[in-house]
Amino acid sequence: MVSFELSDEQKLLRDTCRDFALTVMRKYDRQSDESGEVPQDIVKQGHGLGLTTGYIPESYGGPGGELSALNNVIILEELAYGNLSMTLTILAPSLMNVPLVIHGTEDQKKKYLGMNKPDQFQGLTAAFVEPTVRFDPETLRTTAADELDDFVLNGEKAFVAVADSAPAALVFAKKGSGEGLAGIDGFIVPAGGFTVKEREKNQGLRALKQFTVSLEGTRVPRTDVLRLSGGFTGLLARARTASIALTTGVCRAAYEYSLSYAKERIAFGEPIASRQSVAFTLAEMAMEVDAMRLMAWKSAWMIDKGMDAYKEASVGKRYAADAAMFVTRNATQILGGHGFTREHPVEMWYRDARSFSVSEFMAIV
Amino acid sequence: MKILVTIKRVSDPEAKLKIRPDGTGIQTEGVKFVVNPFDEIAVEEALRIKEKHTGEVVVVSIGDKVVTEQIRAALAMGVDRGIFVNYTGSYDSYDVAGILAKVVEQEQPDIIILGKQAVDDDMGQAGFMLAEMLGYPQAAFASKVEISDDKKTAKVTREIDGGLETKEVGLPCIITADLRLNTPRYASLPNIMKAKQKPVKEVTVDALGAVVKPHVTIKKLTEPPKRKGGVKVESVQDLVGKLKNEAKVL
Repeated sequence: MVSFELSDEQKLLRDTCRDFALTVMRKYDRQSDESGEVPQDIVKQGHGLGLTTGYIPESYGGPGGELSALNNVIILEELAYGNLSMTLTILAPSLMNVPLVIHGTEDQKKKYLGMNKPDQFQGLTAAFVEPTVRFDPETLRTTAADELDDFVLNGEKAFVAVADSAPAALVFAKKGSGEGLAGIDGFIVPAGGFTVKEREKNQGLRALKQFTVSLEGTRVPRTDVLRLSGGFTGLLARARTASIALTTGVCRAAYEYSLSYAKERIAFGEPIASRQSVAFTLAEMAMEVDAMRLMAWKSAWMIDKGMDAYKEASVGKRYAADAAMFVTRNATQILGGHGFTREHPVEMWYRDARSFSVSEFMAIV
Repeated sequence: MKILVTIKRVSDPEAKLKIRPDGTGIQTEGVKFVVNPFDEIAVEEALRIKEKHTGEVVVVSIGDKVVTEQIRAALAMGVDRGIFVNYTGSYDSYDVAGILAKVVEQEQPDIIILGKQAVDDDMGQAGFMLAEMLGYPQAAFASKVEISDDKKTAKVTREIDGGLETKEVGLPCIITADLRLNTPRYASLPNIMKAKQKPVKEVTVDALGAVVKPHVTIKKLTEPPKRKGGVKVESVQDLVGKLKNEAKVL
């Protein structure tokens, strides 16, 4: 049966994350954007919520909750509603943990899931996107050559979150040639096995530390190969579903802010919200936010049912990324001159939302 | 060491409330309900005492089935188990204290912590009445709580005009929590998911042997009068004239 009613636990997850978003994240969002860094205390507090470890089985040192894409999209919307850079920083370890929980061998889970500490943030991460013109997952250029007992990695990766402090990274690369997405596997590379180059200078997500990373003849033993056996599209579906939820959160923030601004801002004797051009725009923004959420939930629900959500997640991601530009641009527009200044957060959300159409995150739900 | 904490389900202090047309209460449709913020502080304090001195933390809440949501929220913070007193009729602070006294008789806790008041009706009486009924010492409006190593006494500080007052009470005792006692923790997400496995016992008022007979009934709620816009006056004379003749404050 299809249901849109959240369970008591899901409501509590949502309310807890919303509270954290509003009372903790929002307080430091501008400061983080200006300084280009998420305060350590926020990372610590966010990590303390158990966002990236909750689904790790007890046998590997985790609390043993289920990995639920639906629970995670609910959480992600709320966190992104607080701040996107902080969310992506705090959740970076999931980039490695989620694929490991799904595809890892017993030994890999023991060794690498065990690196997560409940009270200390370990910036595990994943490297997927490459600095090429028209990046396409189907034609990854990072290669893994089979040489005796090891695989040898060569290539360059871009936008790798928290790479400067990551104890290990999951690198996606292609074995041999051809095969498209089905030929992609994950390779676990401890720090030292990859070279962290300069930090990316981005329009938005300014507090999220992303780096270009290169691999030059890095040897990965066979035991550290995460064999996806054609499961890469499943990970991509999770990644894109997460992306829809994150987009929903940023857009809801922009919509709500401009709505309350429009109700308070008096021009020509009445609040601007009572002007049709503004009211209609706000209504369309609200529609887009709702549409995105439905797409995220549907795709997540399919994943949890064990269904192939690759198409739904991809459609939703593309739709949400476009709609995000409409929503956040209009939020800055409704604020008029205030939308242009850095005294209001809408310009930041506009810059952050720009990332959705150009980025491919990895699986965090 | 066993600590009993009372929690009340209240409308979100941030929510904009509307009064029902008949004036008997507020419209609850679409309103978010939360744990009374002072009770949340009480839960946090109980958890901190438990972490330091070991023991068990139990929460109790009175109301209809929906209050189990708030009990679960407390369990997610780390409370060990809940008691849900199922009662749907009307009651006043005295009734609440009477029901709680029966729960205390059954549970025999060493410390009972309440929020200093609920933010919905702001009565702030249940703690005092409960102490009177049980004949327990009480320390109200706590801003700091220290339990002695032998677990026999509690040193409780309270903020008073111009300073702090510190009392020592023997256990078992009643403590009510003030705003600056602590900052409640966030429930971690794994704990939220685990909270559903923790036990919540349902009891009725009759089974407890409590008698509910409200001495106070709320007759009517009205909204505060709408604030009228101010006026600008032309001169000081105008202002003085208005203060004398219209406001009649001079």
